[in-house]
Amino acid sequence: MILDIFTHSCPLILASTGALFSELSGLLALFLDGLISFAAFLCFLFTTKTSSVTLGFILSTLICTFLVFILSFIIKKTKANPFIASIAMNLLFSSLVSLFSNIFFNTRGVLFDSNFVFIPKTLSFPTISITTVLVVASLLFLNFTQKGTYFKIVGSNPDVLTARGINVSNYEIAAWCIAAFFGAMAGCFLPLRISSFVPNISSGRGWMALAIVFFGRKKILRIAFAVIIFCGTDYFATYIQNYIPTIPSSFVLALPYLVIILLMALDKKKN
Amino acid sequence: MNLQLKNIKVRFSHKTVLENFDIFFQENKIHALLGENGAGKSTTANIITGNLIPTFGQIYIDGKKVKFNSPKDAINHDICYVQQRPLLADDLTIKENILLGNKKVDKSELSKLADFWLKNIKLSSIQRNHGGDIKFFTALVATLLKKPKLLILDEPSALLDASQREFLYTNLKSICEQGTTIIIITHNMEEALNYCDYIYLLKHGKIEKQFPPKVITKQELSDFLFEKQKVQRYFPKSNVLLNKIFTLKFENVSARPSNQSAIFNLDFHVKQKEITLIKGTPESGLTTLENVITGMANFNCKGNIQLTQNHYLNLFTWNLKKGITPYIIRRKSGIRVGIIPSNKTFRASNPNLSILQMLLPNNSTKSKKHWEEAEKLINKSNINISPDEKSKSLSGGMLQRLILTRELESIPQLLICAEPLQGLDSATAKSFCEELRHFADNGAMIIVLSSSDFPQDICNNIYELEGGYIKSSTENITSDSIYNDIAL
Amino acid sequence: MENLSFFLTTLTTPYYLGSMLNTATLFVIASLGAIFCTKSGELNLGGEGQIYLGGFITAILLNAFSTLPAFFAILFSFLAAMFFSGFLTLLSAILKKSKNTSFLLTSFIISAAIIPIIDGFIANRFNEGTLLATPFINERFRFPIIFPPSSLNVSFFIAIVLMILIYLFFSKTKFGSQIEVYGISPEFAIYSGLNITKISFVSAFMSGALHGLTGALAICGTYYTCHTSFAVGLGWNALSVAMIASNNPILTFPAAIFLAWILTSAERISMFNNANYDISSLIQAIILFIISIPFVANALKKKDKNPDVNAKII
Repeated sequence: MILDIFTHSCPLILASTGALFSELSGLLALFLDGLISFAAFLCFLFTTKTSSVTLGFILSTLICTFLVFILSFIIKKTKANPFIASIAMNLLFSSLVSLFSNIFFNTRGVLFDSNFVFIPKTLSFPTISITTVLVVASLLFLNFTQKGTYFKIVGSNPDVLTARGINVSNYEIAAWCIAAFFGAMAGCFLPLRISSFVPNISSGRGWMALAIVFFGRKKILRIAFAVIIFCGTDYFATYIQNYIPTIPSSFVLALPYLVIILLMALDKKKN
Repeated sequence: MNLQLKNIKVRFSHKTVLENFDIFFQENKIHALLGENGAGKSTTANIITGNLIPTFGQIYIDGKKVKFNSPKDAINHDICYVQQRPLLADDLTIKENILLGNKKVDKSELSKLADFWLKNIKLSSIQRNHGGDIKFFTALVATLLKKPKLLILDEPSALLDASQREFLYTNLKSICEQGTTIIIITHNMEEALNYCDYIYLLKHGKIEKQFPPKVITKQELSDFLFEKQKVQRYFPKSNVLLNKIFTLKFENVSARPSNQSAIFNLDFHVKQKEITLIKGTPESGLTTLENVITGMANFNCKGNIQLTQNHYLNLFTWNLKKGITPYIIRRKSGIRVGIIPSNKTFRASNPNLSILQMLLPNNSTKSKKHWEEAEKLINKSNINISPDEKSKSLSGGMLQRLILTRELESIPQLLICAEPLQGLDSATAKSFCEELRHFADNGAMIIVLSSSDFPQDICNNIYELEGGYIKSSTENITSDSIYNDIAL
Repeated sequence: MENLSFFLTTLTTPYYLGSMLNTATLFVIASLGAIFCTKSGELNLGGEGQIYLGGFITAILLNAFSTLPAFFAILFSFLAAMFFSGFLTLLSAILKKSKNTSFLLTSFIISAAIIPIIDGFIANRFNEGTLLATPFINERFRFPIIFPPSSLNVSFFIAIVLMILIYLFFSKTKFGSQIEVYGISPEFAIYSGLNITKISFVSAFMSGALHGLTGALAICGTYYTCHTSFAVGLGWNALSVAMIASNNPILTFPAAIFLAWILTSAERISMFNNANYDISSLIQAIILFIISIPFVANALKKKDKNPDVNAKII
């Protein structure tokens, strides 16, 4: 069961890592939730069309990262309000899912395909190992490389970087692209374990990731603690109706958000 | 590197800062740009370092025309800048701050520079834990590592004590000899005269005169630079508080913020008609104390601030543990309070506020009455600007004057000033000190928190803060010695 | 080309013109709510939940008060709707003050939590037969239509009045000017001794209350029932309108009419082309994205008095 929980948590961990980069840049990736669903859909689409889950993964991740790159480039060049623009991007990704679902599969509902069947147990190892490698690589990058240092202060001290001749915009765009990359990876894992795609498959994980990172205040232990709480909630929310059938499904849907608010309410005041 | 600015014009929507500005910096010499606030010194530096694109004019390096569209362009031409408030990331280590922006670093060169300028300082320690002087030297090492051909230092002595200043200036010569042209922005005449090869006097956006130092004396320089300023009386002479003796007592004031220096069990008092000076460096707890007594502390504090009348009647007690805010201090204490914080740009004002909003934050609706009130305050400060302009249009010194006018307008019974002379030129500083003394004589209680030279002759009580404790105190200095000769 | 003619016919056909103005009415009130938050320096991302809650409360209370005189029933329901929705946003302000949490994040999360809960209530306890909607409200409580055959009703005038009142609030009142100062610089506002608790709490509450009022008016004016998806997208559209209007209350009307025109026309195009409703949410997203670009705001600002080229600060 612990392995189950851990495997189940990997998408959230990946999304949180991506959210961390965006938080460091000072521009929260508010598009993350919509992107996760979009990436999940693309993964399903390309896997079923190419019969290769690897290709599905790669294409989905590349397209999502590329789209975010183009949009964030436009935002920078036009000096758009990044918060409003990223909310727009969130809406965009969500609406693209149902639009393309209708175009390619003639339905906006649950998607199944014979090319998209996976045994959950076989997913544990690749999920956990990919997640571990990516997360460790990110932490090493942030803490032990010079470019990682730039990422760490681009949100808090952009004028310092500008004064040293470093292009802050490039790092802000890169932070969002990294957030998109991790978000897309998180999204790709989601349909695999249920061998199908369901609308709103992200179930708020993008927002949870942002909340985790915000709650974590850039400290690894706090982030890890928050991840464990959310993962537990996330895991049990999915299966809770198996254990307690009288719980209305609406409460189950609201549960992750209620837990976030509760955690924030019980937390110590941030200085 | 020879650098020349030709026919420079810098014009913003409301005013022209520089016009027909020509200046030539000869290579391998130390140049001083001297002038009052608003004369155009920082603007000149910003043009040279790529932070500002002039409306008109050209920049020439060694006779070749160049264009700077960003600080990166200036850096690519080996021009480096150490700002008055050095731009460093507090959360990084000193070494990381030095290496920011440096792609290839010669490790031995780094050790050599660090050993020389940052003696006994651990490079792996976090920047935040060190003082302004270390910040300055960190920024200096970072620029020297790049082997700049032109180095600009903005008010280098602002963060240094006397011995450090001498250390800096004596070594600047050798940096110069190694092939770096140095420009120093300052309003310290002695330093300009003693250490620089050329002095440029800026006034109202133009170079009035330029000298090799030997040609002019300090007195001539002072007379030339500073016109006799009409001393602004901020209020008519009157007794502010009648028949009562107010005392403000600070008891056991302690705070241990997570990201600033701590203060421990501070006891001091401020009496009506007295100026109390608390001096120390920001790192000794001065900034923390400022935040505590102005109600801007977002951390836990302990202790009491008690206002008594006639020595026994307790009018108001601020329990710091419960939390205190400027709202309580200004509106609930029962006395009129003026606060001049050290952060003029983002606390006492904000670049995005209109002048009207900045002057009348309590009610800044655009009525005729408020407009006239704002204009009155603007005129009192000797400034020419409209109330609907943004505060960012003001130069540092103008902003300072406006802030002082605003805070003094209500004739405060308690005035808290943090770093009040920072950014002021000598004439305005002198004028302000006179005002302060006059204010005190008329019955106000005045607290001054200062890390730089504040004239002690006008103070009644002097406390020295070190390591978060009051190291020494001199109280109840009589008024005979006060206000006869205000030293600069 | 044929599709583009829809944009024109939306304005010339009474039904569509009326629908457009009705949609604009709801946009105006919700955007005034959004503006309250942005004036105080925050972003209210929970508009949808607040509107939904307002509509839900109104619908169930009106059904519970079905015997009361219309004036009182509507008044109580509206006040309750505004109170509860205002309270939702107030929670975010309280969390920000006590725990320094991110207002925009908590406003979204609280709204995201409330939506499925209300869905659950409607599905299980308050539903009208098999519809995912509350029972229809009594005819006495339904607002008179002013432009048949569309649903444009008297809330149109309520919106105009509110717009003027809120404009006057920010431009002529002391508290309104204090909110603006706080929105520009919280640190300066604190230092100046403004009562920032009052400012942040009132702004947040008013923001939510106005969203709640939007929901209430949608029930009494347009839908006469609270169905589960009536508020979808309204929150984001309100934010768009606020942005197009550059956070100026007086400009919310033209901005709302503009956005309602685009969306109504786009929906007609997609229906005509047998595309699904995703096109309209796609258009919403694109519009919101375009609005985030400042040229729209700059176009509305006064031109610079001095046309000379100015110095440029990096």
